[in-house]
Amino acid sequence: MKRQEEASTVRQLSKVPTGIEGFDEVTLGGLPAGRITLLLGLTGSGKTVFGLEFLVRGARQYGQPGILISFEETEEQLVANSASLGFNLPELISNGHLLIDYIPVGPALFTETGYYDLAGLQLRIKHALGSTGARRIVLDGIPALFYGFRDRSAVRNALSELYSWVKSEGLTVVVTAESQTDLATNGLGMSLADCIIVISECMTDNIATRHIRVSKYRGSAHGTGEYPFLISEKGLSIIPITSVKPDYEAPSERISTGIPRLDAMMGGQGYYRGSSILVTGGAGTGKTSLAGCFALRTSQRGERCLYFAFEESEYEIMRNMRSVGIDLRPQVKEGLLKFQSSRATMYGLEMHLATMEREIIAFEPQVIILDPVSNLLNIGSFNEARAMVSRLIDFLKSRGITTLLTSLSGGETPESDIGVSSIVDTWIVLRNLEMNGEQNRLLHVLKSRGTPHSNQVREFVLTEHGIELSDVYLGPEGVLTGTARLAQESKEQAELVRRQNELQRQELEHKKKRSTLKARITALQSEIEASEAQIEDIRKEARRYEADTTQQKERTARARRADAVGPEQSGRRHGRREKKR
Amino acid sequence: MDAGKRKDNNWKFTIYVAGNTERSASIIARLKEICNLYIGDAYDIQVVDLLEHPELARQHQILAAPTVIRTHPVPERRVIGDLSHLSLVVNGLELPLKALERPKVEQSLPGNP
Repeated sequence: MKRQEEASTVRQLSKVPTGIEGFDEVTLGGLPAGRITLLLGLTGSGKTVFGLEFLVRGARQYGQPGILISFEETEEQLVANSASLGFNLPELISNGHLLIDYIPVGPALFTETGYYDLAGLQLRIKHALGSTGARRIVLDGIPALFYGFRDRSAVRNALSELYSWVKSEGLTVVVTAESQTDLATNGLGMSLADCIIVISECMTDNIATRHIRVSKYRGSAHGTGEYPFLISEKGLSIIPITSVKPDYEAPSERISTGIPRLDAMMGGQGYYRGSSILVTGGAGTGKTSLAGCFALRTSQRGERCLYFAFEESEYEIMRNMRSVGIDLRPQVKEGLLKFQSSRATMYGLEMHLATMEREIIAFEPQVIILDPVSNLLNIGSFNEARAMVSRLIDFLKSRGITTLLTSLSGGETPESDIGVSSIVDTWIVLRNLEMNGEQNRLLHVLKSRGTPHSNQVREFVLTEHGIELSDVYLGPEGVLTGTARLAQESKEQAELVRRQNELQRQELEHKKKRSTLKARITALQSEIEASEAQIEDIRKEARRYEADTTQQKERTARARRADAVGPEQSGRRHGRREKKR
Repeated sequence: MDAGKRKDNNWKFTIYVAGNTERSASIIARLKEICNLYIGDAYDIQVVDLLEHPELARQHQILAAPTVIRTHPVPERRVIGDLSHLSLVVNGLELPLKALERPKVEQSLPGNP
């Protein structure tokens, strides 16, 4: 293990973190330390910002002073232009953490009268490095030198000397240029650079998008995609969501959907925390209402919910929700529910995603709603959009955030829906059903990973006091909804009443029968008692007769003075019986 | 650093070289020669060795060595290179167009336009 570590430190190239959001993830650590990185991109693509941020973050976060040798912009211009990025260059400059050396070049500045070299350039860069102790250096707009000096070999020599010198000093260098040919035709081969980063700008659907790509990184693995990025008030931000590995935890905790009956359909408990839920449906099927219920329930639990609305404004949504009995105002006031409304076409997909990511990191919500995500998917090419959304879902999952996406589906068949359906965990389909001259809404859970979900289609009713899910009836002509369902319901209600009445009637009848029987039982009982009493009387009579007869016999015997023994015996027997009675 | 010290409105030149080398010395000598030829002795030359004063490279925006700056009369004029092309030096530094005497050096310099 230890040997392995040693071996890997020998083999692995050390890297210098740029501190640029997302870039160090793409390059697995930053730029190659002590080497040259070539940054290619057209004017206005953000090369200078990249270079500046590399220096600013180096000085602020990693304690490495830096130098910017600028062949294009003056120090004043750079300071002014980067003020909006929050770099605060004057502070770094006065602290000695950053030095900006503007080198104007151009043939109009001097006349060439013979052989020369660029010792002045080399010396001033060396001096700047010596006086600041810089570890990072950015040479911005080097090719300008080739336009400024007619003797290209002098420039080439100077640069190659400079490069080998900075390398030997262990400085990390970023050189910017407009294009590969810019440097290549001037003999400054690509081979000089250990790392090549390409910034490009492409237009899709009239929306410009900046992308950054690592096209070469000697001795290191790196992300190979074209990562969209943007320049915002906090500097560059690259969205390497593809670098989010799907190794996040899968919580088993459940959270309520906001609709008790829907919770019941989802195995009785609702959605899994951290899962992604897709709600698809045509126009007016109630997607937003379903999302609103979830938002309300989430904030009622005291959790934060971030609602990205791409179609309606915050106030429209809140007003429309109130009409179906969902009042979101207190939650918004409490700060538990936050709306972010923007037009999907306002800017590029990655700009959306980056601002969303930023909002998410700042607000730390437990639940996110994208309403509707289909609007995002209409920006740019389909594949790109789909990849982006799946990256976003991965990103949210890695943070344990539950995501509810609504999507407008065009056709009747939900299967024809956008490609994100395969990556979501739960898919709820809302449908409009036209029957008996009515439009009614149906809901069913098409898919729900990891939960025993109901296979039933329910009618989705928007009432003044919220959303209700009702059973649908299967009639001879299919499912019954709306008034047909109501008719069926009242029919069933009448049947129920009839059955109840019948039961009551029968109960009463049986009660009567029972009481008659009871009366008869009482009569028979008294008959039994009467007969018992009769028997007893007869017995008494019999005994009395026997006793009389015995006495008579004794008396006769006494009178006759015969059979002295006999009467004694019978007298004894009689006496015992007397006693017993 | 030598030549005429008589007048304040002398022509003034600064020559920046990298290192006190023979090559530097010969270029300084060449500048003097040209000045003598076109201005006479009404000039001052200041020599700056960038190896000794690298900070001046930034201060005066010097990239190439050698660089000659005419600091007086204003506006300043610059030429770079080893001054081998006489007419380019004369034009670049805006020296008087007519030489005080026939330049003897002209023949010794190759590559004159």
